[in-house]
Amino acid sequence: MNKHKLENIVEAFKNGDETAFDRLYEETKTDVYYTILLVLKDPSLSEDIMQETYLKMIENLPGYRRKGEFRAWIKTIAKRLAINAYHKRKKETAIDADEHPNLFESEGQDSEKRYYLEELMNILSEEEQTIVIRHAILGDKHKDIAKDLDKPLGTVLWKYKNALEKMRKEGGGFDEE
Amino acid sequence: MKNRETRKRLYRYAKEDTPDLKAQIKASSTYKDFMETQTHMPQRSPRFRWNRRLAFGGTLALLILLFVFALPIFETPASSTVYMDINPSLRLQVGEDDRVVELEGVNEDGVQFLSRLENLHNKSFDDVLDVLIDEAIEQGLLSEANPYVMFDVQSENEDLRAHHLSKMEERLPEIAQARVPNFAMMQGSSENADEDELERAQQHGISVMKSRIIEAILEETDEYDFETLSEYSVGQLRQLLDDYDISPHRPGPPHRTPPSGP
Repeated sequence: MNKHKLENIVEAFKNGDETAFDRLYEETKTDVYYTILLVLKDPSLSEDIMQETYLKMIENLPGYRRKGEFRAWIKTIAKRLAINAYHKRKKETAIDADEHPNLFESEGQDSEKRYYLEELMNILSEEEQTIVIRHAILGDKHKDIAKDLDKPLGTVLWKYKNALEKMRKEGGGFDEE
Repeated sequence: MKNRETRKRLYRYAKEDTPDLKAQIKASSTYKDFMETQTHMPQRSPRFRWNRRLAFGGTLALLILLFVFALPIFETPASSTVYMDINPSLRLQVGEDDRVVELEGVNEDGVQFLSRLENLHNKSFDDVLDVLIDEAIEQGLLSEANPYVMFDVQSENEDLRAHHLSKMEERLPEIAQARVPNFAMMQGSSENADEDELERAQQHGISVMKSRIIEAILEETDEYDFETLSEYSVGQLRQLLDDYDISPHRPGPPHRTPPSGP
């Protein structure tokens, strides 16, 4: 969906159209959830922060003026809340540095899609997961990912290509639907 | 299965797998309070909105006038940087008076190409384009078999950029189509090139525009490598972009200006 259409939905929601919220949620949920998941690496806590993000967005929506920037705006809220939650959790519990996080591991959810996503992500390193999620799911540019990871663009492009290749070769069943 | 399809499938799976928290959010007091306030909030009248727009417009017009009159005091000559890739790859610096103030080869072929020409400095942009295209046709670099010219215009002055861009779009077909009937242009992207991109392009003796197309193609297929594609002509790369159905709106790859004329 283009920025213009998304802004129309935001306007409709601001004017009290209840169905607009459903559309807004469907349009932005993946961006919000995976932005949080990348920071927290904990699906269960990410769901809590995702809910908090939408509530914060609703609270601040009357003051929202940045036309065409809604997706970026809500992702910024999500990232900020996720970072706060990360620091809060860090204070409470010591994090095992050697742990290889599985971003898709979640209790109570055993859909076929989740099975594939878990399988696939088990194959990738943490850095590869970050690159693949940011580009393939969040739509971030390779250039921006390279800047954030402090790596040359060519390296990020190469790692992304390799990660997808690995997923296709080693991720049993991902090729066939 | 190609990378693009893997990416699409991954995105679809991820979207389907994202938690649905709509019900919880709607049950919250924040959501209910918001809906309550929004449905009962008095809407500003159209007259109020128009008054506000007029006031804003008036202030903006005043600021523009002030800026226009104050500008000549601090002004530095504006210019555009025009990149042209036939191959050879060339860079032209064009002033706001449409004079070419600088002209250089971006790659070795470009340097050689220019060394055979008369001095084109300070000539009009139109004349320089005439000479460059004529010479490219003369040398067989631009032909029915290789009818593409890729270009991009960058400038801090958006109006000047638009002016020089439209000049390229109008003038190039005028000059080329009489001798290359299937002549086609493609607008590339050289915007915000970082050091890595510049270095990579320089290493392979190609322009950043071409390097970005190659990277976009390699993202979709592993049938080629950078080295091989850097030897491809603009037309051949254009064909690969079409073959792999690479969206013209993605970062990196250029968009094509369809051939005009008969």
